[in-house]
Amino acid sequence: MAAQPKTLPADQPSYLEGGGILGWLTTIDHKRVAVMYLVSALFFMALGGFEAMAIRVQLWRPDNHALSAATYNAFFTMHGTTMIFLVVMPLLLGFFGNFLIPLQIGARDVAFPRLNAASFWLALVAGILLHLGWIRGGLPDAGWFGYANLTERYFTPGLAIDWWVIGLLVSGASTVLTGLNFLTTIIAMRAPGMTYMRMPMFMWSLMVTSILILIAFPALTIGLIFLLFDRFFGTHFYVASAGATPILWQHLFWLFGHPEVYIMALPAFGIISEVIPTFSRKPLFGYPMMAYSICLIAFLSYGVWGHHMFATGMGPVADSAFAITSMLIAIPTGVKIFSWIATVWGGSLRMTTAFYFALGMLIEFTVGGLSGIMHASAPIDLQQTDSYFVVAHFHYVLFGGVMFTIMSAFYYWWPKITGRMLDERLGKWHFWLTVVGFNLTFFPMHFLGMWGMPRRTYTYGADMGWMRLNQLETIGAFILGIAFLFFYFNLFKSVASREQAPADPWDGRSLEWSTPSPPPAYNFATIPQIRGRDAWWILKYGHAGSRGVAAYMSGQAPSQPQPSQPASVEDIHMPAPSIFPLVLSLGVGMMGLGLIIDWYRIILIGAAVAVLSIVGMGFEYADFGEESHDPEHAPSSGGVDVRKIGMWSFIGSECVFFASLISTFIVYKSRSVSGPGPQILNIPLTSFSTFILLMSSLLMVLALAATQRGDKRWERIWLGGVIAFGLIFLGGQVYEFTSFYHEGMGLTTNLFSQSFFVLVGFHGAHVAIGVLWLSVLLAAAMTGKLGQSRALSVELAGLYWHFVDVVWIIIFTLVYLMQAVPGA
Amino acid sequence: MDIFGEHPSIPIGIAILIAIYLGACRAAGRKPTRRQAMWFALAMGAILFTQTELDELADARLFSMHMLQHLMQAFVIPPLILLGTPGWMLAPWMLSRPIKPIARLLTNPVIAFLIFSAVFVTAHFPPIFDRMCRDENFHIFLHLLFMASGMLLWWPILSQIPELPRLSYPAQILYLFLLMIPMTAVAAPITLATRVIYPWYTEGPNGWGLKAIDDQVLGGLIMWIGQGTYLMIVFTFIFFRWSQREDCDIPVPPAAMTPELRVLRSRRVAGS
Repeated sequence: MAAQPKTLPADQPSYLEGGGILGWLTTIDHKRVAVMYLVSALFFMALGGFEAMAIRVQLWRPDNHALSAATYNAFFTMHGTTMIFLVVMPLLLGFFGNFLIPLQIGARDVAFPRLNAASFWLALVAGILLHLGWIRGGLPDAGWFGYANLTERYFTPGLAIDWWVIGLLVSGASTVLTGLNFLTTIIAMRAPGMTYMRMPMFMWSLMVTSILILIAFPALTIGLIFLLFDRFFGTHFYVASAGATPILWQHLFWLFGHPEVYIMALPAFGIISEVIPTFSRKPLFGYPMMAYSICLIAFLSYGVWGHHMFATGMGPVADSAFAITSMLIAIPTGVKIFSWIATVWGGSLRMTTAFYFALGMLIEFTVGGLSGIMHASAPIDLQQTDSYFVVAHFHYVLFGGVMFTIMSAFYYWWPKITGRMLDERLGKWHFWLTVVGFNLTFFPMHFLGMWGMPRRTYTYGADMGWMRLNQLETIGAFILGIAFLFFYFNLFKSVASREQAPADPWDGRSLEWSTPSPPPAYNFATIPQIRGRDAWWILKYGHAGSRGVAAYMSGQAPSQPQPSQPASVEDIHMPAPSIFPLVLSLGVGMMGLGLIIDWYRIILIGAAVAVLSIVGMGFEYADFGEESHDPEHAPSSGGVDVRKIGMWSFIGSECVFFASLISTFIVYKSRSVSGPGPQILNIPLTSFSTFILLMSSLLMVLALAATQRGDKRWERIWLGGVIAFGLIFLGGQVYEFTSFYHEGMGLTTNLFSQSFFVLVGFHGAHVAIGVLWLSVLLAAAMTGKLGQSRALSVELAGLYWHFVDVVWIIIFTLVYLMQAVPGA
Repeated sequence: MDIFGEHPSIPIGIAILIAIYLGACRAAGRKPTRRQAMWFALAMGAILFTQTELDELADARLFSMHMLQHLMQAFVIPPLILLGTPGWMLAPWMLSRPIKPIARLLTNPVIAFLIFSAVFVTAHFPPIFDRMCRDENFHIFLHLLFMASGMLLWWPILSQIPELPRLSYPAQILYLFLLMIPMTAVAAPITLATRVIYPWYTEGPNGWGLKAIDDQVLGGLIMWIGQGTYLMIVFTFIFFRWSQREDCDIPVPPAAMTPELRVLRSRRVAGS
């Protein structure tokens, strides 16, 4: 291995140095944001682990009462919710994703650094909101899937589910913003020469995961919004007696929930595809097939949500369709497993802890995959569903597959992130204890499940004969707990040590290893030129293929390129820190809090804070002149500005949001038990406001044209016109809503009214946001801050405005016009 | 199969299309490649099959065959026609002065996508679909509309004219992925419906003696799984063509290499 500098040159401060507490609170450096994700995730991981141990203690012997049934419910709910939303996703995306995306694609930061910081603070606020039940109202206790109608206020009074709904809404917003940011970054900010087919596989997986996030999370958001309306405003979206179907929640939840499994699994697949080639000293086997199977898994993951619902009685046809698509997913997954094995095959292996965990993942994940194929078959699933067999299955996937990968990633990237090595000897202890503890805990669950032990039930009878295996599992859980103590101790020991890690301790293949450990704030002094896959390996050894191995075997020192030199560090322009992301999240947190403790003043203050900080961020963006990127910096985006890509991604996500609302409306409009139906709609009035909205789109086009040619006067006039027309449209909507109210159709009257008001109301809210946005632009135009060079700002607002108009045309057709067609 | 039976317009229409094709060849003084001619012949065969044999089954109150017919009209015939029609045949009139801006607008991927989705989703709404079953002229019109909007839909993937370009490979994949949303929006409600949605199918005997509801489920599945599988196959082709195109590692030139050579090398990279 090549000699590496053991210590950092004094003139090259790492990203960890300087700034103090305020520096961390206002940071928008992706690496610092990543470290903050790490700290919060480590805390929540300990908490979720504690809950798991408590569950296992309760199940130690039959008819045990270590936990009450209510506490048990709260613990398994919070264990699932915490581990998925506050541990696994923050670690994979927030921590490893955030830290490594810019480093692996050769960029200096993510596309929207402020948004990135906001994502973190929102995630933290969500975590706190989810746990405020400790203080008031009790912990959420309806399962991480929160099946309706158990979550209705009638069945679960109190604040517990309220915390859960609000917490998950905020967490979802944070995740969608992250997905938006990552997707844009990977599309637009790759270093010159880094084509898609040269990206590290981790980047491939994160790109596809981001798309999954953008399309999957809106379904959850809609499901939660309906639940929120049911609990806070008295609607009946999931109440069967009002004609609604609680199954709607399951459809929405699993339309999100199954892609969510891949949102957690795909990044793990990507990480494994980085670790295994490094420690096998071979390029990844079958790179195009690996990328293809990631895409295929994403493609298929939207057609399989029904396999979580076989027991709801969807009928033989739908069951068969979902069974077939679910089984199909085994094919691309199998391709990945075999490609990893082929990568290891014949490599010159170095048995580090990171590699141990990667190999462990291959085995444990395959076990989970095999039981997964069993669930795909509807008749078998009917036997297994809601039994411990399922618990065994998803722990083999999520712990065996994802957690093992996360551990592997810790041992692999920790030197890069902190500049300190993790102890390998402790690491091996950690690994073996994890393997023993994990299998001891979860393997017997397969048998218990087949013997009929149900999930989510706080105890079992002595005559069932389940005690022996349950005790074995509890012992396993404690061994697993000890393994985690080793892990935490190892992290602590490494951070406390003073020994500097080398820049490239594993003889790595991708670009992050070309930077010092830990990297400087700007990552790369000069943006690297990429000449192939395994970019850093090629720079070191000239070719990605076997030459590196040959050079290594013969002990011949490769021609060693220096880690990127700080040639002109003073010229590197990094965006300035900002307090707004933190303030924004506090505002959002206040809104949630106010809604739950029913204190409307706090909601209003929170909303004002949030809106003002968004506006503040907007002006900050314009003021720091970031529109003009380094010319060397944005060659892969095809000349499209990152903000435009971000806007398009956002619109894509919004499409699913409105599609879910519209589908619900179509399903529910004629299921009302009583009260007025679609005939109440006033088509002439709405036709007029539709026309107004369409005209406003035309004015928007004119406004953009005026801005682009630098015509200040008409820019203001047209922008003002758009705002005026938007206001007229909103006025029409207010008039319409009040007249409905007077005719006896309020929000909670029946299914038609509530799905109508929620759909049309959310569209109205979008128009209102558009009007607000345009008003800010108009204010900027009045003070002369807009102008030709900032035409893109107008274009972005225009994109949004046109999108909102197109959505309205669809709503107008489906909601208003269709009811005039007989038989619709 | 009696191709002149009920609908003489079909063979006549195909004959006219072939005549136009040959006429355009003669006018341009060029011949299509063998492969293009083959695609075009396949397209004509597909039209003939869809509008005669399949149409008879569809008219025998077989909803499933009707769905297969729609899928052929939207997903099979237009790509075949686009593959079979050389760019030089279309370019003269599509790039002519009055048509070019319209063509440019309509073949814009966003517009094409929206037009196709709107046509396809709207046509499957019960009142419109039911009217289609009863009104033969409206039926023919809708089928032509499927094919025409299908041409627009597939243009960004198979365009033969560089001036009205294709999408980049990753964008093509995303485009197909998004296409699954409107297609599923049509197929899923049909498959999962518990009663017969289109009354016309209950008003007479089913051609194969299936129960109307079973036939409807079958049709929904043909649409749902059929389009998904079809798009997945297309996506596979696109993906591997993309990976071949971008898939090359360029060794770093040794430091001793002269600057001129370096320039040459990197040019080749840029061009490949």
